[in-house]
Order: sequence, then C-alpha cells, then structure tokens
Amino acid sequence: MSNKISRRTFLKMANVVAGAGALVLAGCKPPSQATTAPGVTPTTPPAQGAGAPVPALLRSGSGEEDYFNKTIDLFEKENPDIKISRIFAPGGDDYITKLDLMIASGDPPAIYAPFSTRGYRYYAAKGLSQELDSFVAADKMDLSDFHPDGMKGCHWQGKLMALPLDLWPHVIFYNKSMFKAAGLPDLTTDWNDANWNTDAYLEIAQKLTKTENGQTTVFGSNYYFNYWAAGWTFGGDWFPMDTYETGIVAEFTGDKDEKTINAVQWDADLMNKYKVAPTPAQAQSVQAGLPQLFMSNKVGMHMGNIGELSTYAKITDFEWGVAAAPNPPGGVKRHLHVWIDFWSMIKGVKNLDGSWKFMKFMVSPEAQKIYPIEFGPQSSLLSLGQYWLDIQKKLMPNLTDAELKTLTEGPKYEQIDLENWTVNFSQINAQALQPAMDECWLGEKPAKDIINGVAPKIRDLINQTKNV
Amino acid sequence: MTAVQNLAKPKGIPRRRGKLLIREYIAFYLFASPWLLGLLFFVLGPTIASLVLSMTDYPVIVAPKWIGLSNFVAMSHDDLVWQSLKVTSLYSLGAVPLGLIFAFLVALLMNQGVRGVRVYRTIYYLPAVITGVPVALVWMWVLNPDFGLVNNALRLIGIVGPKWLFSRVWVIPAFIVMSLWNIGAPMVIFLAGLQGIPVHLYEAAEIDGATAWVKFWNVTVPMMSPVILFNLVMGVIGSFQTFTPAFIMTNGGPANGSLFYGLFLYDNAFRWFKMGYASALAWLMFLIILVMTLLVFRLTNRWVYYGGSIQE
Repeated sequence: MSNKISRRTFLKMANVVAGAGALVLAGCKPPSQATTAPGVTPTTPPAQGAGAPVPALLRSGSGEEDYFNKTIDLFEKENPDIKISRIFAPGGDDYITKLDLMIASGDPPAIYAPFSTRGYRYYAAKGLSQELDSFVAADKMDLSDFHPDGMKGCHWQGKLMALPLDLWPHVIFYNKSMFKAAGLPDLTTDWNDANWNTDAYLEIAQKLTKTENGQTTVFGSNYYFNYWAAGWTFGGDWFPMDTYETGIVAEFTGDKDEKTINAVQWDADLMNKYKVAPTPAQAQSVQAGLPQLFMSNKVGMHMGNIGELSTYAKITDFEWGVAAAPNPPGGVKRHLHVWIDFWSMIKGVKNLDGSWKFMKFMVSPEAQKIYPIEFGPQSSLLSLGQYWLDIQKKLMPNLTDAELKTLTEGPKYEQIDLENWTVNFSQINAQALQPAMDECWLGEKPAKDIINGVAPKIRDLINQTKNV
Repeated sequence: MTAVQNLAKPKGIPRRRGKLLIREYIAFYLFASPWLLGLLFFVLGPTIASLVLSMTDYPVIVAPKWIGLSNFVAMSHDDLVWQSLKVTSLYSLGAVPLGLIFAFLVALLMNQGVRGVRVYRTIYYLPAVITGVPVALVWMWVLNPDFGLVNNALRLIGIVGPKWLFSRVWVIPAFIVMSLWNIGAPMVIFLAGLQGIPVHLYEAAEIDGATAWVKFWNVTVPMMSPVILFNLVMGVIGSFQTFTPAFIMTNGGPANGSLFYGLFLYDNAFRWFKMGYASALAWLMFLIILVMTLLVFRLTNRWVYYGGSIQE
C-alpha cells in the first residue's frame, strides 16, 4: 500500500507544527517592562498593585534563611497590609539563574540582592532596575548614615538604583594554638604595621608547615585566593581605577602591571615553590567535608572574609584569632578586597509602594540588627558599627578588642569587589581570567607568560561586552 | 491494512461501518495524544524555537534581537568552542571504544553458565542504576591525588599517581576511567545479543574443529555486529552529551582542561544567559552528532551482518 501523505494532510500537520512553534516562541517572550529603553526614568510611582504580595528573592544554603525569616516576620508584624513572598535560592550562579528566570517570566522579584557573581549594574545597564531617587526624595530618607564605599556603588549613570546591605572585608584568621606550639608570637592587629609584610608572612608560614613521609600534614598558609583577587595581593590591579567609577570594564592593564603579575606568581609560589599552602587537590584532602578549610586545624593562617566568623565561633579544638592582612612588598598600598551587597529592585513589580516600604525596612537599623549583623557581616550603616562589635564580642568572647577593631577597620584598606560592582567582569572572569588563574595554580608556566597569553582573549571579551 | 489507513479512503464504506471507523479514529488520536502533544510541545516546539533563537542575541531578560548568522560566525572564532570540541572528541575517542570492549567482555563472562551468574549480572549492572551527582562525588574522592583509592593503590606498587582531576593532562583520562562505571547498560544489551546467537552455529563450528578463539571471531563477533553497532552509535551520542561529571567534579577546569561541549553550552545558556549563542551551539552539536552517526553507519556497512537481510 501507498504511504504517501496528501497535500491536505501535509498542510494540516504543518499548521499544527507551526502553531506549537508559535506557542513556544510566545512562551519565550520576555515581559513587556523588560523592553523599556535603558535610562528611562519612571514617573511618580503609581500606587498600583497595592495589596499584592511583594516577592523577595533571598539567599539560602549558607544558614541565612533563619535571619531573613526573622527580619521579614518583623516587617510583616509592623505592616500587616503587606505580605512578603519569600523566595529562597542558593547563592552564586544559582541565585542569578533564578533571578533571570523570574525576570524573563514577567514576575520579577520586588527586591533582590545580587549575592553573587553578577551585580545589580548588569540589570541597570539593560534598563531593568527601578530608579529609587523619587522614593528617597518623597520619604526624605537620610542616606548619610550609609557606608560611603557602599553608597559609591549604588548609582548607575547618576541615578540611585540600589541601597547597600552589608560589607564583607577580608582579614587573616590564624590558629593561635599552632602559633604557641611553634613558639611564634601572635600576629599584629595593626593594619598600618609596616613590618607585617608578605616576606614576614612567608617566613612564618614556612615555620608552621610540617611534613611527614613526604606528605605535608600542616600548611602554614592558605593564603591564596584561588581566583582573580590574587592579583591584588601586591597592591596592583587588573583594570584601570576608573573601572570602579564607571562600573564597566573597558580596558585590561593586568599584563602590564608588574605588581599584579608578581602577586599572582607569589600566590602560586606559596603552593608550588615554597609548598606552604595547599594546592586545590591538597585543600580537598585537608578540608575533608568541613565547612571551611581553616577548621581542619591543619592550616596556620587563612585569608577569609568576616562572614566566616559565625562558623569559626563554633571551633572548640583550638584557639584562633584575627589579624590584619600583610602589606605588599616595597611599602606599596595594600589592595585586597571587600565584598559589598546591595538591595535592588527590578522594574515592573506589581506592588511598587509595598516593595519600596520593604526595601527601606531591610536597610533600616531595625532590620540590619538581625541581618546582616547577627549572621556575621558588617552593617552598611555607620551608626551600627558599635552594635556589630558588641554582638561579635558576645558571640566570640575569645576575640580581643584589638582584634575586633581589625575587623571593623578592614574595609578602609581594601578595594571593592569587581564582580558585583561592574556590568561585565563576571563574564570576562568566567571565560578568560579564571581559567588563566587555574593555569597559574598548576605551576606549569610563570604567571607572566600565562597572563600575557590570556590578555588578547580578555581584551576581546571586553570589546564584546563593554558597550552597554 | 489498519483502521486508520482505511479511513483515508472512506468512499463506498457502508454508513454504519463509517461511524465505527470515525470512533476508532477519535480513539486512536485520543490515546496517542499524550505522546503527540509531548512531541509537539517538548521536542518539536523547542527544536524550532532553538533554531530561531540561534539567529538572535537573546540574554533572556530582554527581548531577542535578530542577528542572522552572526552567532555561527562568532562560534568559528571562539577559542572555547574549539577547546570544548577538542576535549569532547578526546573523551569520545577514549571512552567509547574502551566502554564497548569492557561491556562486551563482561557480557561474555556473564553469558557463561556458571553458578550464581544472575547475582553477578545484577552486581555489574548496579552502578548503572546509581548515576549522576552521587557517582561524581564518589569519584572525586576515589581520584583524589593525595588520599584517593586509585593513587593509594598505585603507591603500594611504588608508583606516584598523577593528579587526575587537578591536572590538565590527566583530567580527560580520569573521566575516561570513570566512564567505565556505566558499562552496565551496554553490557545488558550485549548479553541479550549473545543469548540470541543460535547454538547450532557453535555446534557446526565445533564439528569443523574450531577453537574457542575461531568460534568467537567467526561466529560471535559477526552475529553480534548489529548490537556492537547499536552500542557504538549510542556510545558516540552519549559521549558527545557528557555533562554531569564535568559540571559536578571540575566545572570545566583546570584551565578549561575538561570543558566538555555540553558544559560549555550550559554555561552559555544558563550561566551567562547567552541563549541565542547557546542555541547556535546546540545546533552545531546536533549536526556533529548527526554526521558522526552517519559516518559510523557508513563505515560499518562492511562489517555489520544482518542475518535477516538479503545480501547483494
């Protein structure tokens, strides 16, 4: 028998297929507000969607859920007419994926904090961020209490698009018990101590490192960022300083900056030449399922951010302390990094007034006393500095006043993280810089050759992404 | 002739019978509709959509912009596309033949009439049941250079093992070794094929004085050739789609040493949200797999024996 399909049957089938395709394409259509031209200032916020739930995209997985829930409970108690939809997503890329998909689905979160590898400026550059100037003006909100570094990053093309949430400076955590056993004095808490430099750091790390049967059992240091920030250790930078003002990576200078190259080489040498820091493979062995490598009692000094404090507060096996990060060689200005989170709002939320009220509450002293302070990071409000200290002292009575001061002074000596500060660094890092850093840690070639080798690729990516 | 085919020519059919056929026609489409709708909405629709999207710049959060063939042109200049193709091809070249050989050998063993063979079959198939993330996590520990099982075993015989997942040179061999974990599924297919070989062929060979090797080479292999072809094609397709172990264990590192094509595609689609570019990558992957499959069929024409086919 014949298996021929008649013309009519064929047309019927084609219609069905085309219809299905059209439906799928329609499903892919982004929300109407997403097409708004960048830079368009919204008019006076309409009181539309009053009573609609306010969706908040929050981070889970790091033990922060309880603190967010506590804060939101408080808000809902004070504002019974506003209901917050609590949407939790893991941090990092998963958070970004969730955020992008919520925007694409036409139901964006009222507020979100890009706790992750991509800052709010990425969305602002695409015309998706809700401008906040009109709300701040209408409420006569005083912004002077916010940390100046935090506020610097809240503007995009002159407009307020975010409010700072917290600060995560980096310090040295060190194993005091190990120092005592090795007959070494405590580390300095003075950020301006010129004797505390990378040479001194290496010397101590070598004294602390122990080897048995050819295997390193104790590492003096974990002093390496297994990522791009290693380039900052000696006070250099991958990009020109105006990058931090514009929020757009437009030029790469890392291959011409000796400080950056030397810093990466030094970090690699700690692992491969001096063997005082674990390689990524050794770190996996030492950490062995612990939440942090430092908790293994097999690392003398560890560079980490203050968000790790609440984890270390649970250490009972050994004494630990906090110290300033060492100075770069040659008396150069220190240039480590501090992470700052922001709350931001996506355009097109249903309950705009309720969303603003909630955002304003989340940066208020009342809310910040719970999150971020109870969780660990510093508050973005200068007036809560002492309160943060009091809480940390209560949680960690082992820390001296000098050590606590080191924690609060950290941000003064550090550079702001590029990942949530710029529009395009995240992609440049993922596609070019991070693989090059991996090569450095493998120790197969000098850092200079690797950085020079990746420079054209980085410049190419910059050219692809800088025009926003 | 089926009822549905009859319906194509309804002329001259008695009225009552026609009604019955229409009811059957409706019933057929009603029962087939879950599959048909699934095909339309979850296979055909997204396939067409991805073809359209491959010609757009689509960062998901804003509307797609038509850019013609620019994504395909950009792909040809993208070092990472070539790197991911290199990584995937190397893996495929190692994992597919090795997997076939091991699965075939194990199937031969499992086809022996020894006591407790069913238990052995279950044991060999078990790893195929546990797939994905847990397996990847277990292998991360097994392959750890310092205290992993593999390097500890090598140390016992005086060999300093490689860094496996932490070395650009050894990361793909590590994934190839790991791929042997999944030989359970092809093994079962081989086993079914082996059990389908008529015993009289072996008896005839034995009468002619054939040795075990001659029987294997001249009876088993030819009779198994269609099954080998099937497993080969499935292996090639599967190897080009490798994603989970690289995503969990190395995330493409170190230094892009394990940047599988599937992982690179995922990164573009769901990490950097370059959905247009990712769609173009997906179409390239489809074309590569299609060409590879056709190539395998073309090359295997000479050695695959189909007992039921008419030989020219």
